[in-house]
Amino acid sequence: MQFDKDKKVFVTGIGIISAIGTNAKETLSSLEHKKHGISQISHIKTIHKDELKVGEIKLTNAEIKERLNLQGDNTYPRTTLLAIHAAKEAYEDAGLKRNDGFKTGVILGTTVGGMDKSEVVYKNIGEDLSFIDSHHCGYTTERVADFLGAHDFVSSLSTACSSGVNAILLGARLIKHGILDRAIVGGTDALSKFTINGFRTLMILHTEHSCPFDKNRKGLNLGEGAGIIVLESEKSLNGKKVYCELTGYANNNDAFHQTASSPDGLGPYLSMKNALEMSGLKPCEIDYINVHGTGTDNNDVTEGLAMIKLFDGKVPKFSSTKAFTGHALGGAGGIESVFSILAIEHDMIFPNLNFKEAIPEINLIPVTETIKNAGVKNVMTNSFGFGGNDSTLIFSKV
Amino acid sequence: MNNWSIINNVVLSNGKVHINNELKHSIEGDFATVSKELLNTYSKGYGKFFKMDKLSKLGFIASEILLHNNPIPEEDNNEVAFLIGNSEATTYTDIKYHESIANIPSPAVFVYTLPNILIGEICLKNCFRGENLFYISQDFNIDEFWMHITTLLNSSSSKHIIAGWVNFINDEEYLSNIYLFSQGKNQLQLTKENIQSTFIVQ
Repeated sequence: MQFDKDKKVFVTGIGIISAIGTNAKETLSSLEHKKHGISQISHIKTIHKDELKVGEIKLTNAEIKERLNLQGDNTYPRTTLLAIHAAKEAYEDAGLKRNDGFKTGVILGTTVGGMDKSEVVYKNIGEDLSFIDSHHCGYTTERVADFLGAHDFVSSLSTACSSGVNAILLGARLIKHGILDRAIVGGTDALSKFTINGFRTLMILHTEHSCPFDKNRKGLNLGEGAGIIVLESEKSLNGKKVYCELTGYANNNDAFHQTASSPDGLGPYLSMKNALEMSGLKPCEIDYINVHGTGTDNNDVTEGLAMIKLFDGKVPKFSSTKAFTGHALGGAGGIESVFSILAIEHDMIFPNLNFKEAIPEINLIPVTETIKNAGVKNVMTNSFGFGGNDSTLIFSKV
Repeated sequence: MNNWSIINNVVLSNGKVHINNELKHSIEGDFATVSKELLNTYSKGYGKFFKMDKLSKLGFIASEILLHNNPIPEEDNNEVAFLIGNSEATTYTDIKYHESIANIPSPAVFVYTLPNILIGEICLKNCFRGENLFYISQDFNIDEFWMHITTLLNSSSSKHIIAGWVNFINDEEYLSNIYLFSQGKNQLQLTKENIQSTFIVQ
């Protein structure tokens, strides 16, 4: 194992499924044209159906299975189906082939695992025990690895809402160590009663469409989806198309509260600062930040304060895209990494929906209309999770 | 790598505490009794302990023992990293939470359905702000563990690492086996073999 800190890590494939599209092309079109995916819940039987809005993927499990040619197999929970859907797109997009001699691994983040299935089947325990096998967080990663035939390294991360970003971080690190030549990485989570009830009791769910970074924000909308990317070292590139380079990453703990950020956003500040240092970029070279921006009272103000501190008041253009997709928890980091890559690829900055008035404490105004030809070379994306787990990635145009 | 040492190792399982392979405590009773007694010895009066789930309690109390005679200098707080794994994630608490949905679901239980919350608890107590990684694997595997350690050491600015395996299955079956690794030379160098020789799986 030879660590080479200067070894470059490139993005060569992207795959995404969320409330605003079932592939990268649909997703880009929705982002560009401000078409959000927030609606009432239709797939989950819950008494909170009429009082909540979520970012739900309208395809049923059966429809996703059909798209993936997985008929006949009924054991996959939705989290797994979403991940396979996005991974397949990323794999094909990168033009990968099985057994081509390059060490290929799969690392995914998830928070809910197969809960969407377990919580339904659990009541009739004894009839169908297949949910036991698919319940754990590693199940999805294993099925994706099987589907793609990529078994050189398979691991799952569960660090709350930053899981997806941390999976990308780990993949990059394994490539820099020569343990892998390429890594299929990202995050996935399906909506479940478990998470809906959990976030509802935390009282951070907005009953209407969320409005991140707005003075009158009242909480988040939950979402679901998967965002998966292919990372490759120079070795396996072979002249193929490269989207961008992953130039910086960092993870820090906020050490303040399990479900709230510290008043001055120290953890978010540290992860952004450390990722920036790793990238070797100057603060003024960041062209766009896809913020965590959940739309909760606490997140947006503290993330804003951390950005003001890091950029010395000159905060780059930024937006939260969570009002498009809802907060897909473990999937969010993967989804928003794909958005960041699309921003570089199409030289576009995506709007922050529903913003009307700046938060007085920070007075920051996000981008509210799509900006084309925006000169996007370096994009920062943040994902912060419960447990004070704060992560930042930086993607750069090659 | 040559510049890192194994400072301390704590194993808490089945009412027994081993520090560096030496039996220090042997407590009769279920996990609640064991953890409460250890709390009184190592971290008396830490009120937040009582709201934690059992997985967090298990990891937290082991960390208090781990750091008891080896406090980390405050100026290093931003460079204390975590690397913790287990096989059960938070299944024990997931079931508790799932059952509570039928009545009034508790936010205080819900947060503990995330395994990295355990790392968060240790960070909260000690103001540690370094990198966190929680991984889930079928069994403790030294090669996997070592791979995570080396990649972490090589590519971050950490000065200390709290690493190991914290698994809570039920009141009788639980294991916390955690290490403190620090930069600097000590009697025991940080190597895969030295971890292997001290790691007890029960």
